[in-house]
Amino acid sequence: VFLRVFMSAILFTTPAMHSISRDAAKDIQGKLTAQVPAYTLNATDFGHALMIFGSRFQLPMGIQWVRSSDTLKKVSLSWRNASVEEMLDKLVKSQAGYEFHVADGVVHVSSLGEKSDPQNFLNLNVEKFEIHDQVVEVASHRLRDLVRLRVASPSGEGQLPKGVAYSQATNVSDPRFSLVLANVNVSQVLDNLIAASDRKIWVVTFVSDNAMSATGYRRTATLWNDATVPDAEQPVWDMFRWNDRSP
Amino acid sequence: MPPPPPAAVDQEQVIAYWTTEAGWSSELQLRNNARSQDLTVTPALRLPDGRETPLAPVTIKPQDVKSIDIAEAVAAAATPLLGSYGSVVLRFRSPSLNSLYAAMMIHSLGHAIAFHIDASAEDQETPVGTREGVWWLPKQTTNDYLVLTNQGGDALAVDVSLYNAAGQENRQKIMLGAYNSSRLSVRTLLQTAGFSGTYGGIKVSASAHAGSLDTVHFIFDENANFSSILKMFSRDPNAKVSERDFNATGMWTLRAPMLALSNPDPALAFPQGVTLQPQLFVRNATGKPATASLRFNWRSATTTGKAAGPQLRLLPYETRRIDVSVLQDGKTLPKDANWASVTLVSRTAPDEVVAVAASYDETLKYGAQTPFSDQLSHLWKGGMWEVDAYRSSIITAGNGGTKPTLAALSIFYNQGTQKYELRQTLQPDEQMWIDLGKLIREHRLDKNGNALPPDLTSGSYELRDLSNTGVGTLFEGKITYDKTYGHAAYGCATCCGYNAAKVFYDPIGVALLGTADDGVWGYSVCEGDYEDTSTSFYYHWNSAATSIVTVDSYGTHTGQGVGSTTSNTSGQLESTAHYPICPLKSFSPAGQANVTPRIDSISPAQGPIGTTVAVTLSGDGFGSTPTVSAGTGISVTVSSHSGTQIQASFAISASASGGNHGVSVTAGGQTSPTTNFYVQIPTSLSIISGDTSTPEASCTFTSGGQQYTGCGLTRSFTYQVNDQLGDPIQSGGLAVWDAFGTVSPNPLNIGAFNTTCTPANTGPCGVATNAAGQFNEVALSVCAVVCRNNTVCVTGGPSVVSQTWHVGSAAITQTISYYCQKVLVNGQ
Repeated sequence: VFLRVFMSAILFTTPAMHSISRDAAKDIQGKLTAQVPAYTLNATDFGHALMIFGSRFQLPMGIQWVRSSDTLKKVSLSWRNASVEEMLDKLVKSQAGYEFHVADGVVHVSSLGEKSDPQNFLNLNVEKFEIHDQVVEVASHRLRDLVRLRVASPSGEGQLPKGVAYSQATNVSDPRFSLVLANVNVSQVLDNLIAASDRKIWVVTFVSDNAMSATGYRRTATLWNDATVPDAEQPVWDMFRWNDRSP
Repeated sequence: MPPPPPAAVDQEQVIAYWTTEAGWSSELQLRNNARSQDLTVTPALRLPDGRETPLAPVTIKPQDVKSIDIAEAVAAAATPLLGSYGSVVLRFRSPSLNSLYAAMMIHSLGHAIAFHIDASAEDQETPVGTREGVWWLPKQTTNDYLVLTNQGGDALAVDVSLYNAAGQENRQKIMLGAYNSSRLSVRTLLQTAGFSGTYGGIKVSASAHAGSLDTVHFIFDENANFSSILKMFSRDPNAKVSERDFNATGMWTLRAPMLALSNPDPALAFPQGVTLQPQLFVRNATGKPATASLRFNWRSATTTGKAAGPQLRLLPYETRRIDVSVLQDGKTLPKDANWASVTLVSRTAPDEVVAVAASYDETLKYGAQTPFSDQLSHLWKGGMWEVDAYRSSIITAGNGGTKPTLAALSIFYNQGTQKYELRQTLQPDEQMWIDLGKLIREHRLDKNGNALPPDLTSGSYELRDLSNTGVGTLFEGKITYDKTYGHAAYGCATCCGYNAAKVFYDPIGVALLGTADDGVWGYSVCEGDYEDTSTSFYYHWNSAATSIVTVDSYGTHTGQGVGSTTSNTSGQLESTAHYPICPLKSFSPAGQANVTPRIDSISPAQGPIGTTVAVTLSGDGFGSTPTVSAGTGISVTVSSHSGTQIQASFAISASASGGNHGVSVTAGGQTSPTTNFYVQIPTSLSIISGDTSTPEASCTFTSGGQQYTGCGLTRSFTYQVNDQLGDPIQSGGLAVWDAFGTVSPNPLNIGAFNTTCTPANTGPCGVATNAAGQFNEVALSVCAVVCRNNTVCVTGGPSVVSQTWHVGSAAITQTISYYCQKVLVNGQ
């Protein structure tokens, strides 16, 4: 109980997030500068490649990528005597327009312009996000409920359901945490979720540069399958542990 | 499991004599010895010149005996044969000749003349041999027939030699054409030879095709109401005592089990005052002197005893008559003794000394016979017994061995479908004595508490040595006595040998340093199946390579090193030489012995479909390059191994069948016995812990970009994944996700679901079971507008929907009932 209260306290509000990021920043710098004698990366596409890379070197990552003919090509890269950062740089730059930067202890990968794109739901402001003693899956659902208010298509009142049911399975060992955030964007909420839970990589897969929902937001998909996600379910994102198998 | 029996082939038995001449009748008795197969026999009557007349086929149920009146059968046949005589051929298909026991009962109508003739069979492997017997013409009015039968298709040249009591010979040649028979009169031959006396010897010899020769000699006197069969013995000059020494005495031993003594058993129903004259005719069939000794095991109405008889020194070809009535003087044999079993022992080769017993009163009208035989057996199949107002039967079984034995008499009736069983432990030389008429009359119960039906009149029987299988020690006897005429005729049973011996297992698999018991099946030619004859092969087991396998005295194999070799044993069984005798024969069954790796344990011993399980196999003999097989649907990869342990991954296909899969290790070309690996199919979920429900006094949800407020609750707990037996699947890493079906009924107006993975009803998404096969349901919940009325939560429901949990590669569907105030899983 004491630990949970303590965690809640240090995660409260944006300044608190900065306070936890100092240790995380030191940690990730150490990981990025580590030298690797040899490493070979094979993946079905760019998105999976980033996820696999992050898992292999245990990097907290936030990944935004767009499905395209280029990014959907198989990735096969090898390195010798390179640092993790050098390898990551080569991987990211294997796709034109992509870059990475480290912020708040998280490696963020995105294409140029996505950070300020108003059609990117990750840039939506969240006035308040509050979770008490929950696992990350529930927290993620809560965040998604907030985002869907803005992103999902409005429907006629008469057709709307007046009830919703949930079922949420989680791993038995998933840690519970509390989190209170205010005036942060969705990307920052996701950063906080991976900081507080055992899910360490979040991935947003945009369907294409010009695929928009009825509300004008870029459509998303999941790494787990190629199914089209309907507007009512938009947006979606994936969160992985470092030891999860690649989808 | 015993091996399957050999295929049925054409078989043929021959009975040397039948007659439908005036005043005579012939009754063919056919018994099916098989345990479970019907037997169809087609008899054909042969005339002396070999011409055949087939009779109608007869089908006999197992253990049943059927009687065919030859006169009636002849009347129905195409060729009229009334007033004829000849031999009978019996044709049938069976794996062995011994499936059939056949005899011909010859009767003289209106007289106390009845005797039986057993079937024999051609033995083409015996080129040289003789038929040895005794002639006896007790009165001038006594007639006789000596019948010679050629069972084969080759002409047979025989010498018929008659000897007077002192051994003087008269010989003549007779030619028998193919399938021919010849009926001679010894009396006439004696007159031609100029011999006198009332008894002597007969020898019928053949220097080629001797195995095709059969002979029958019987005497009769219609005036005296008398008949007697004078048994003849087949003598193989190459036979050795060891082949016929069933109780291991090293001597040629003959037994006559039912010699009626001077004081007749009241059971024979002879008139008061009849005194019998028991006598033995013992003949030396060789041209050199022979010695023999006699002993008696007698029985009276109240007691039994033993007595030594005279020592005999027989001159070449001499026939000697021993008057047993003289011995019944109260010193050697008690005066009131009724029966004696006679044992004759000589230091000769088999059938060099032969004997015939007869016991008649001075008129010859009343009396009985008992045949001498050397045969001891573990199983005797007896022919027809008869009990009615005019006849009755007595059966005896004796122990000819040197140790006590448990004898079982089974009396079959109702077409062989029912049996009456008696058991008795017999000391050496002891006999059990069964008066069938008495059993029926007195309603004696058998060992199972059953009685013979009071109206039962006939059936078959068998005697079995329960203490000895391969080589038994029982001898047998049966008489059927005629209450009208006071005559008792004996009937024989047939011994049952084995014609094949096979080891139980070929190959036998033995785990390294483990043991496996082997034994020997003997093919029982009578019953048509394999029997356990292992005890006859004890103490003779051997291994060809003791570095691979060792074998103890009892056939227990112990694996010493992975590899293959052979093991063998040897022993003697009653066999099936010249039918119907069952001489001892040595068999040497052998088989391959494979010493295999041994799996002692497998861990884990189970795993769910669609997963890869790291498995450790512990045991021995895994060698340097073991391979592991786990059956269809499991792909095994060996990751590391030593001689005693294998680490492997079992990739269990999603389509693998649930249940036990046999896992084996192959090393050095040998495959271990299997050990089970249980393939689990996720089949059910059980709620095991942390079951809490939290009402939501005010809950919100988003629908179509709008937020709604309602009431509901959240239930959370831990699920345990169970297999098809309801046992927990303790396996981590099984991906878990869920999907909902259509809600019906839906009073809560539930129109959307948030499931484990997004979008709803898809998966997987990284949620999996822990090592115990568990996962958490953290939010089985509902939030509905109808559950809130004026800011107050109300009750309602249920909205019912199916929820399918995808666990690994399996799907488990359950029913969720959403209420405003609760959520139920499968009604719980």
